[in-house]
Amino acid sequence: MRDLLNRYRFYLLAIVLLLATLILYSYNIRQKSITTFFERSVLSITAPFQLGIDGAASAVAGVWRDYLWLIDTRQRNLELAAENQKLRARLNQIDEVTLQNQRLRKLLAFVDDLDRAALPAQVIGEDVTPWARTIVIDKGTRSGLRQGLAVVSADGVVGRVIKISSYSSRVLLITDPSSAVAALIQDTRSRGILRGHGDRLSVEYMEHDATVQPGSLLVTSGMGGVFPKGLPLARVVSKSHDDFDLFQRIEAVPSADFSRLEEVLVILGDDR
Amino acid sequence: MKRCLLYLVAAWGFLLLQSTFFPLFLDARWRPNLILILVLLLAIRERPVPAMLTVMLLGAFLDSLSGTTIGLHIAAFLVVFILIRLVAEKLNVESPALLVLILIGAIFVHGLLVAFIMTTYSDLATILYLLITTLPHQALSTLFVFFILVIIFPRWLLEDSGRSDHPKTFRGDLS
Repeated sequence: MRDLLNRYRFYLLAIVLLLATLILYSYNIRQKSITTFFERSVLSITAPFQLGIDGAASAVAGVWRDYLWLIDTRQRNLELAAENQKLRARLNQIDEVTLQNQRLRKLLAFVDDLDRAALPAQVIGEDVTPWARTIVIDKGTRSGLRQGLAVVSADGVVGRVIKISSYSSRVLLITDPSSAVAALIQDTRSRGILRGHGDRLSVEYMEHDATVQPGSLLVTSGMGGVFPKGLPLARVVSKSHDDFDLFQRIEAVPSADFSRLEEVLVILGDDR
Repeated sequence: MKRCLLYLVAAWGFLLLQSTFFPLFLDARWRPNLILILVLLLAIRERPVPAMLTVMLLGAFLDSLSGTTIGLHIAAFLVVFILIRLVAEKLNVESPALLVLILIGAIFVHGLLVAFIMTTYSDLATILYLLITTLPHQALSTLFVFFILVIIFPRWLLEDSGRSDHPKTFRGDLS
C-alpha cells in the first residue's frame, strides 16, 4: 500500500490540487463581484506596462509612417523634405488631436444627454483569451470607480466594470457570452434580454407577438440598476420564430464599434 | 526555483503581448495561446512538483488578466499538465514532431476543458460554440509562434535540460 502511495504520490498530489482548485473556482463564482487581492495585484502591476506598450506601439507606427514618407519626398528634394517632414509630423499630431477632440466632443455630448456624471477613460488592453470579451481601462478606484459601473462610448453601451484595482479596471463587454442586459425595442417598448455571443448578440425572451423589425434599435430598459434607461445597445438584423415557440429568435449587432474602441466613458451612477 | 521564476517572467511577457500587442494586428480568434507552450515545456522539461505549482500560478495569471473567474484556467492547465506528463512517460518527447502533436492536442484539450468547466458551473451554453470555433485558428497561430520560438531558442525548446529524472523513476519523482 505504502509502495503504491509512494509510486503515485505525484498524481495523488495533482488530483488533490485539482479538486482544491475546482472548489476555489466554485467559491469564486459565487463571489464574482469581489476583486481578490491577487487579481488586484496582477491588474495593478500589469496596467503601467500595458499603457507603455500601447503608447510605444502607437509611436512606432508613427515613426514607420513618417519614415516611408521621408523616403518618398527625399527623391524630389532633400531640403524641402526635411522641412516637409516636420510640418507633416505636426500636421499628423494636429490631425490626431483633432480626431481625439471630435471623439471626446461626441462623448461629452453623449454625457450631456445622459445628465449623469461620467469619467472618460482610455482603453489600454484587451482580454488575453480569444473567446472572452473584456477590455482594460486606465481608471480605477483612485478615480472613483467601483464594480458594476456602466461603461459607454459615443455610439452606445460598451459594458460594465467587473474587476477593479487602484489605477485600472476590467470591463465586461456586452458581447461577452456571460453578459446579459435587460433591453427594450425603442419603438414598440417590447422587453427582452440582450445576450452576448462573441461578435454578435441575440435577444432572448422576446414575446412571440411583439412587433420587431430588422433595423429596430434596442435600448437599455433600466432594469437591474446597472445601465441608465434609454442608452443605445444594438440594432436588430434578423428575426425568426416558429408557430410553437413561446419567444422570437432575434439577432442583433452592437451599436458601439468594439474594434475601434479607444476612449470610453464610465458613468459614475449619480444624477447631477 | 530559478527556472520556474524564468517561466513566470516569460508568462508575464507573453500575457502582456496577448493583451496589448496582438490585439493591434490580430482578430480575437487568431490570437495564440502562448501560456500553453510554457505549460508544455514545464510538463516535459521540469521537475514535477515545482512545475505543477508554476503551472497553477500561470493559470492564476491568465484568470486575472481575462474576464474569467480565478480557478478556471488553473484547473484546466493542471489537467493538461497531468495529461502531458502521462503522455511523456510513454513516448519519446525529444522528437520535435511529437512536441508539435502534443501541443495541438493540448490546445484542443484545454479549450474543451474550459468549455466543459464553464458550462458545468455557470450554465453558459453559448461559450461552447464560441470556444470550439476559435480552437482551429488558435491552434494554427500558436503553432506558428512555437515554430518561431524553436528557430530563436532551439536549445531551450528541443533539448532536455531541467527535468533530470530517469524514465524508471519518472513516475514517483517528487524532487
